[in-house]
Amino acid sequence: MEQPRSHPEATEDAGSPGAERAALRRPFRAIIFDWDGTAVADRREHADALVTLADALLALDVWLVVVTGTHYGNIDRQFCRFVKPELRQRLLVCTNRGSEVFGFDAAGRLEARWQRTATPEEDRALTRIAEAVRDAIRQRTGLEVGIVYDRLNRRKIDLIPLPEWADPPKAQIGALLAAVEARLRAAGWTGGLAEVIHLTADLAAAHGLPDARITSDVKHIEVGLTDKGDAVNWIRAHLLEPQGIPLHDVLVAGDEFGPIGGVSGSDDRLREEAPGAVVVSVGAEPNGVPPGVLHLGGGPARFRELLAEQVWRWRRARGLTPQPPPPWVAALSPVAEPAWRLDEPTYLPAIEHRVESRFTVANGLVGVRGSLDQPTAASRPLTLVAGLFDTPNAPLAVPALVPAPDWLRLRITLDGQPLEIEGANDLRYARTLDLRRGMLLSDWCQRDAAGRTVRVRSLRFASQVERTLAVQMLQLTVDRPVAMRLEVWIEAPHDRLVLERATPDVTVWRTVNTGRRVAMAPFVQLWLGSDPMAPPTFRDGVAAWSWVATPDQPVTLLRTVAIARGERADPVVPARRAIAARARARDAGPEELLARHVQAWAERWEEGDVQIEGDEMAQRGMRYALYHLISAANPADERVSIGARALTGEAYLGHVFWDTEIFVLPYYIFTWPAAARAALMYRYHTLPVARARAQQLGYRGALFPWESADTGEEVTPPFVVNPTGRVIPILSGTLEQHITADVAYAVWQYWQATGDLHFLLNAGAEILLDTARFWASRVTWEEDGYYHIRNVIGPDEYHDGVDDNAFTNVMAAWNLETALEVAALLAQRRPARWAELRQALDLSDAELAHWRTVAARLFPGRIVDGVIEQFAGFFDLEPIDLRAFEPRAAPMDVMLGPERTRRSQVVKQADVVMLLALLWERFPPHVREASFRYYEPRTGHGSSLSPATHALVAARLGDVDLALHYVHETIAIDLDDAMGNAALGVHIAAQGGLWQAVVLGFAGMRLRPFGLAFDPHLPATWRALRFSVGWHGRRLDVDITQDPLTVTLTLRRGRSLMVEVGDLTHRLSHGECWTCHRDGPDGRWKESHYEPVTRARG
Amino acid sequence: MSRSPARVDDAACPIVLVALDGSPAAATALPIAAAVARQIGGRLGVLHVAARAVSAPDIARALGLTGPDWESIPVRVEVGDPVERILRATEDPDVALLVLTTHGREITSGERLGSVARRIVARAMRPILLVRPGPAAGKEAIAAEIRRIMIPVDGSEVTLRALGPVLALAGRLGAEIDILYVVEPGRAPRRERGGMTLPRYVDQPQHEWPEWAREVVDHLCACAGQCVPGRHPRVFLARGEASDQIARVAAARQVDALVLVRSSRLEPGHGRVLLSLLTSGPCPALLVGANLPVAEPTAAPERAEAAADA
Repeated sequence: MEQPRSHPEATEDAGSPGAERAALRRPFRAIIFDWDGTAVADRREHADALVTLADALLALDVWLVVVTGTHYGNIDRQFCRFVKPELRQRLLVCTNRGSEVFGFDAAGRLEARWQRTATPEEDRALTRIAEAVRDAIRQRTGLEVGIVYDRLNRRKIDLIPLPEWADPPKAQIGALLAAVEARLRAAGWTGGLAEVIHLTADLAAAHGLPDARITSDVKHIEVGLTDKGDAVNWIRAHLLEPQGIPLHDVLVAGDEFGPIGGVSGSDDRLREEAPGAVVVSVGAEPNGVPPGVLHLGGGPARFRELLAEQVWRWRRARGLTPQPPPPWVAALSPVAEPAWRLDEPTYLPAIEHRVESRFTVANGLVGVRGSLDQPTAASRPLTLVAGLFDTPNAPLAVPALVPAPDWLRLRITLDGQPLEIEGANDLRYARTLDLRRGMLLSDWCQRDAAGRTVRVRSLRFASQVERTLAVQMLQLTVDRPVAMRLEVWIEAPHDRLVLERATPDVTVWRTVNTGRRVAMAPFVQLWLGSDPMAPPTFRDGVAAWSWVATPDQPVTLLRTVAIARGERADPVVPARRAIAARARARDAGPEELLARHVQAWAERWEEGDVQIEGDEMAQRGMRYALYHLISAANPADERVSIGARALTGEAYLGHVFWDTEIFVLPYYIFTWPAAARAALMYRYHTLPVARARAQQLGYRGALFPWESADTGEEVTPPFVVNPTGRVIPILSGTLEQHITADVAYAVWQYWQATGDLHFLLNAGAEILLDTARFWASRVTWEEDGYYHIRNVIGPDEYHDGVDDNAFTNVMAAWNLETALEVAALLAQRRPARWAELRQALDLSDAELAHWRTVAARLFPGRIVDGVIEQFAGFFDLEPIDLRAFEPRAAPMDVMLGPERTRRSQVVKQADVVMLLALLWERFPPHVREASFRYYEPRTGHGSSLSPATHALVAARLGDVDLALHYVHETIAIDLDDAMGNAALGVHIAAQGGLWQAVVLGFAGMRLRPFGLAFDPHLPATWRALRFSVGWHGRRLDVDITQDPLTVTLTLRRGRSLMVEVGDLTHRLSHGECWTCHRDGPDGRWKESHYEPVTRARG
Repeated sequence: MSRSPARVDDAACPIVLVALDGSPAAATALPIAAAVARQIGGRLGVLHVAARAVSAPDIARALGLTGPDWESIPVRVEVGDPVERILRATEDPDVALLVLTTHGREITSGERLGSVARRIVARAMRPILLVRPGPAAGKEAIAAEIRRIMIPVDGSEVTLRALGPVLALAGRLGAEIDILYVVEPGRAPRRERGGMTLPRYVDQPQHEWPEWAREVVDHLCACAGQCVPGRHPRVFLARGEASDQIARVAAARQVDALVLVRSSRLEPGHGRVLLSLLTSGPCPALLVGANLPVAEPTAAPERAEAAADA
């Protein structure tokens, strides 16, 4: 992205012509300026920007002198009281049109320096003059003319006392003049405003004040004893001469120098009494300006530009060279390699929600969607905290993750105008998800209405090291000097949170119904170069800084927020935790915070990266998948699990499904066991609720909920009104019971892969036994000599209430068998613990024997010509040729309607195919092949879980082209805009499925009791596939290349293990590298060589 | 998505302009135009374009604009080409809506739109409320207020972008909005980057559909640059031929006006869905034009045009 211009002279090109510019191209020691129309547009304006500029100039020892017709109170309200007290000594305010001068002492207290006091005679004369003018006009025209008496040393004759002209802005002076002239002439006062002024002068002389000062702002004729020239004279005598400031070092600014209605402008007296000074007008000056006045126009905004330029010139004149940015700002540059980044080069409102989902940064505790740094109406900014559930007050409502307060709010103001993305000029907004470092970077550049360009580069991340911390860094650069303001705050929370406690250190909110707490402790700093600027001002929870930004000096915001969740009985702890985490972050400093986060990500990638050579799309999709998988996990929290959209969106309410155990966990099991363990412990901690659920439905053991939130209760919504307007009952909550076996499967897979005996003894075994007990109670014995499971929903949810769903039945049988296996294992290896468990669960030998009988006689489903029947009667349903519906823009149940879909052989997602994927060894090859070939064309892939599973099985069957097709389909779920799903959050199960498709599918990795086996089938375009996996504390690097298909295995960590490639086996020692390749016409695997040294990975 | 309430425009008292040609058929647009003007707090303007000069009072009498309800209605009479005159009149920034009938005095046999209506529809940049005269859309039936508006969408960003003025008008009408997404069998999903599609994957319908409906509303807001008015805009899905489904759902939902986006100049072979609904739709149509390129497309497939029209 283009850098804003930084050459100082560039500013001057935009302003006045060359000769005039030259006069302004130097710093002035004193600046004398008019107030209304010059410094401010009106008396209601917030003069924050002016105050910022004044503070900066005063700090640079520049004298500022306000010369105004109004009284001090008006200036104070808008300006003086906001100027830093310690700087006010160099500020003078000349009020009441040259009749008063105010200054300030060293403490910033107001001092009256001088006042012109009228004698009683002068005062009476002024009144008589004004009234004589009024009477003369009235007499001749009958017009109503007003007089303002209560002004010091002057009277104001109002020539147009009409409501619509009560307070005309300076910008309308032309229209005002026309209205006044028209009013006078229409009433017969043919000489207009000029004649009134001449009359006033004549009457002043006639009433004894021949030196009366007569001016006009068009609406009024003012007759008084002093004018702005008197103020300048006082300044010359009492400021400029004593300070040795020559007039050519003085800048005079006003907006009314030129003649109006035939008389000189009210500011022209400034010019007359300051010969040699540089005089500029920022007013409209409809009749031009006197010689010597540089007419800049542009009003107060232009005047502030001048002041900002003066700040910059003084800083340079004082040798205040720009400070280099702190070294950690280098983190704002994203990783260069395309395979490590996801880019969104523009801001398009129509796709913003999709971008936000994809660009989420998260760490398993905190998730922050990738919204713009300054959200627009099209944004859905969202911070989610795992486990922060609440249940709305609505009938049949279910718990949902509550959006946490938005800690990222900010407002950037340039010269008093907020920077808005919507409707911006020359907007460029690029976002990059830096996958390698786990952070979102953005580069935002736009022009404001005055033509200034501001560039905002930012990064944000959720710390992988200290998960309570989320960090934002933001660097601001401008191309011209300007008064800038930055405000940051935490947005008022969602209506499901109530504020419980707010202190300067921490704010705590409580969920309305569940009483959970979330505490946020922010820490914000603005850095000028390598040093933090003064702390911000705080008002109503908003931290704000104001400063004069210059092109050569970017500033950097560093915002850290510590976020902690607490339970109902835990009102104090989260606040303490947040405060402590913030303190640690502050102590560490930005450089260490960043470095540790980046290092943590590097470690995760070291353990769990997958490299694919020859398929850019697959490599990018894989890295994206792994990024979100890493982001979703929190090994430190056993009380939460990973929802269907992780922490990337509100959709699915944060609910946990079988997605977690079957699709997501395998990646963690093989690359990050601690993360897998935490998720399984969540199931263990909710086991009592699962037992209660089984009992409630008349069964024994534990029935895990189809949808689970924080407590482990069943939280599946009971119905949905679909978009055709029909109320559809949702039966998954009661019938989709295979999740119970799915949890058991994950427990066993974890145990097999990790050998974590502690987990098995203290949690895993209990899950396996109680789930087996559920199945034993769930089955019914029937006259055909088999146990059956009737009225369930399998993974294919298009068919509900089916009998003997093969997936459910076989997984249940497997669950029972595995429970018996673990029982035998514990009895043999840990008899004491086994005795405890038996007692606790009241497990008798008879019950175990019954399990064995049930497992052996549980109806496995019909197999016809090698095809497993998905459920009883499936083969009799209507066959549908899905190809006839292509191209297709909707899921098949929408195309056919739910009733016909139910009567058809259209399968929503991998069901039998899923069973093949999970229990591959249980089925003979011809059954695997036949079943896959039968179901694959019947599957509508109405679930995001489906393509990856098909990819896995197709790859294992050696159909690599079909597998690759499904891999690309899986990647498209989130990354292709045409899928219509990405806006609602990342499909975390599909990401896990992608890893499985590649590692368990293309690499053909399978668990063996002694180690790991591989049976690779690579797509022709893939030159190489590399990844690492863990097994029982070891780390194995796997490197598969083509031509010939070659597998190289290197044991990086841990003691030796057995590995198997095809029909070869080998005991691999620590550091050893073993290579084999497929060779010859029979395609058998042959050992190539091995070397007992560690080879560097490519 | 939170946005400020929509407005028709900056006009404090917007004009609902009804264009007449002196025929009884065209005059059937008057009651609904008057009702809409009342509903949006605007004023009714009547424009009569004639071939020769005629006085406004004569026209008012001829149209039956007598009695206390009508006497204050300004009737403007212009002489010249009715299309040009009507289009010029809509250039008044205070005109929020043009109301006219699908045909007036004459309509060619087999045509769905009269020649004047067709040319105006093809060129107008203001929203048009197009009313079918005759018993099928009788005067009493169409004189009711517009309380429910249906917006059929096909996900095209171009279509959605055109809806800003309609949403603003709907906000001023205080109308509830139904959004209808139509899936036509055999049609490929849209590949537009900023377009809206049906979710390809509905993992769990109990979560996916409510969120998708929310996303449709948000997406419409983002594209149109206006919030969808009403407390509960509802999103519906229909499958089938677009014009049939739109007509069916509109009738079932008893909508008062159907929003149609014109994305072609209605040359022969274009605007199939739009023209069909103008003929057989169950209610008046509220037309807006998409921002069309200056060079009109000539070889665009009819199916794509028809979809965009829906």
